[in-house]
Amino acid sequence: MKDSEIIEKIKRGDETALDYLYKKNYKMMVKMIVKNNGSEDEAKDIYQDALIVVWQKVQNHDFALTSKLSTFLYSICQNLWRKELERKARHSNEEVNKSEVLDIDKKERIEIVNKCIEEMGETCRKILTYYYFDNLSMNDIADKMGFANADTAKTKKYKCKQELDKKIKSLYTASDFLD
Amino acid sequence: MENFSSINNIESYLTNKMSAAERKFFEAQLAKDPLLQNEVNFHKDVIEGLQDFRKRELKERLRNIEVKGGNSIGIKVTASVIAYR
Repeated sequence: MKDSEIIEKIKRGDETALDYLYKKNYKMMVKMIVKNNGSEDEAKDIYQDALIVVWQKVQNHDFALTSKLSTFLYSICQNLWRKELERKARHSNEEVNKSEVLDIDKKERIEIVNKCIEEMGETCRKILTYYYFDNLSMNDIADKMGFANADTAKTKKYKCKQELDKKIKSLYTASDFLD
Repeated sequence: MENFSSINNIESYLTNKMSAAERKFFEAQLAKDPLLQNEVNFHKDVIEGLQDFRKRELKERLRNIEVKGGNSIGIKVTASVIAYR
């Protein structure tokens, strides 16, 4: 597959392009991290994160590729690994990193949100995650979901979000976060 | 007069879909309106939750992909696999 084809697929939210990229560049990326003091598990983990970063970046409307896609992926992978090495070095020097300890309220809020997302219907969850994470257009969401058109996707997205908000809010109120 | 606490405004703000001018204006309102702050924080929680969920889902997808010969990137292991056959 050519870079331009892969990018077109990613822009439409076609996950098979992600699978393809993953397999195609696996050895090069994992090798780079292993050579730089990483274990194979760490390498896989960082490589997967890097691919998801690429996935999101390509889906940004103003994205333009200025190098080969594999070069772009390589540089992101390198960056993430460097950050991870820095994080590891910091942690071995400090006993507890206080800024990384979430306050209890925040932790509890995240749990409520996650629970509600998990309990949502699959259709709603797909629409909302495609919209908020993958940054897909209403047209692409309609295509992926088999809806008649972008307007249907838009209406559904609005309803799903409203429903989710309502549920989370009721649980938040029960836990007294919003006074 | 526009309604600043409208869900559309809050979402545009949180998903970076405002122009620089709109953003500046919204932030000025936000600074003096605790109710709006509450509402923005709420939607931030929800959107971040959705984003985290999708990220975990995609990662799981990649984790389940078997890469041919991907379990060993060193020559040694490959050689021993051949020797076993």
